[in-house]
Amino acid sequence: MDTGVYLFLASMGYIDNKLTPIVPSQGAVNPTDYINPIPQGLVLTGIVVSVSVSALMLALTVMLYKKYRTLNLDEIYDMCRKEDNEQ
Amino acid sequence: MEFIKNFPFFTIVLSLLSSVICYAFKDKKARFVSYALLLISGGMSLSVIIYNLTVEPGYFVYRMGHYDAPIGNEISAGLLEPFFALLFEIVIFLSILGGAKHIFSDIDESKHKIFYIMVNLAHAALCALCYTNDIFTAYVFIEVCTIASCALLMSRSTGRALVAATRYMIFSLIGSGLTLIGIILLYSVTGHLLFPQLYSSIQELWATGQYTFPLTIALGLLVSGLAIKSGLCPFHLWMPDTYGTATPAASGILSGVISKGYIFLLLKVIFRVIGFEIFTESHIEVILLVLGVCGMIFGSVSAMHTNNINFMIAYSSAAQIGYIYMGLGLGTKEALLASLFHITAHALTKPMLFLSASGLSDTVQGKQTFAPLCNSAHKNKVAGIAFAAGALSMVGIPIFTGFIPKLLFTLASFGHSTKTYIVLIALAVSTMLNVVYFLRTLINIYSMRKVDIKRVSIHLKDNFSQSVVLAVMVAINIAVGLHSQPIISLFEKGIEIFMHIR
Repeated sequence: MDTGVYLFLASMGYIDNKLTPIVPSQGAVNPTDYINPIPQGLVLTGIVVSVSVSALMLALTVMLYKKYRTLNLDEIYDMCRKEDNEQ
Repeated sequence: MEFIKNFPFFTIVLSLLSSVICYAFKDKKARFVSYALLLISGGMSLSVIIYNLTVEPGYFVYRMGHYDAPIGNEISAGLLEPFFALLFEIVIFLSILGGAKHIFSDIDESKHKIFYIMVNLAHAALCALCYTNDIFTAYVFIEVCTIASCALLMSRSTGRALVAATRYMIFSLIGSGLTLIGIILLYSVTGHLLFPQLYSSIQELWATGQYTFPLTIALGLLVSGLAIKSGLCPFHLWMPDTYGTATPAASGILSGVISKGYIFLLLKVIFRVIGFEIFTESHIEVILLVLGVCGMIFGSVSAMHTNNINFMIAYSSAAQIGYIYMGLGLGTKEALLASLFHITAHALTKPMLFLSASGLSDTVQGKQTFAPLCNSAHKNKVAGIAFAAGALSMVGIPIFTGFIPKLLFTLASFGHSTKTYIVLIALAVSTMLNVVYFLRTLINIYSMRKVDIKRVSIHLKDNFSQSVVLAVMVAINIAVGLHSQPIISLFEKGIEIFMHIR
């Protein structure tokens, strides 16, 4: 879902016939010649956040597999219910 | 600019720095960094409250970086922001101090400092959510808070805790995703990310009838995203596993504080981004009222049917979150005041319930089902008294904190025709259901029924920090219940400032 959201956000910044927002070597520029750079910045921030979340979810997945030797959620829930009943 | 105006910024940055500093300490010693951070941050938040009450009444806006708004970023502090930052700091401090013994026994020694790093990170995120004046910064710290919360859950590496953490992450990420789409829609329509500029753009567009549909959709997405994250019915299904399987300190922090941070941000979005009038005109408050009432009833019904004390307290949290959203759904200042006081009451009571429940479980080798827990309050007297105080507070008995918001909700409900009847009936039914499951548990833990299980008596010195923290929490609960007027006055002044920060 986040990937689609970032593509949507990046597309918000695009303006037809405008330039990439890179300051040229000659210095000061007219801002109205460029596309909106803010959505790109927001997307970069969001991607960093998404990467952290993905890393955390992968760590969770590895820990779940080490514990239950399966990634099938139905089997995991069955094993959890058996543990609860034993308690 | 007075030095004290830097304090909100300092609380956020110090929390982030202390997360890094914690790494340099060995395992258990990292907790002293967290304790020091929370005490210092609490002092700073209190200073800001006193400053905004006496020296320069009102609020201040603090520029973050070199550029003024609307190009640069900023944070703002009135009365409500530092109050809730202080409340969160007090609750986190008491939770980690009281739950220290369980942190050391439930979590691997190699992960102790990671637990405290994540506590500091969660604190940084909550302070940022309280003070931020920028909607995208709010989203970033929502995600930071989610990551820190999940890490707190995962730290107790039992299978159940891992499954609960997975479920929590999935629900949270759906909420974050919806919030992000709402933010992007708002940005694409208005071109702004700072609250004051968003507010004036939205008011202008709504008044002229432009982009009404996209604005309503954006508002709906923002509200639903934050409602999912805070556990509004029917999105509360992650709560029992999450709160019930974490270590007691983490349960206290998650239920008492983290969910309230999202609700406070939602209040900021409603009042300072969208505007109260547009919020009521869009009728989204009716949906919040209905879902809040459903949460109050279904949370309580689920709590009645569970056989596990921690799960019962977790379902009770779902019901209490319903109360808060019911107040938002009424759409008046009096109801908002009641919701704010209920956030305070719940934040002060729920961690006490989780800590005392863990104290009672310790008398029967960690068992959490009701049958073994009978007579446990006689074996751990402090935990028994704290659980009794928490239960009576949740039910709404006078002298305890929980009575005040119920009274405020009742008073706020009058004068709304149909909504008055819905709210009064919901309050009555929910209170009766609270009585059923809380008092049933209370009678069970004090009953002398013989059960074939080995019991251990826990005295004050066996878990000194938990006993002292529980005693302090009971004292705070009763003090706030008996002397609620200063807090109500603070909230009244704070609401006026809150609605007019530009």
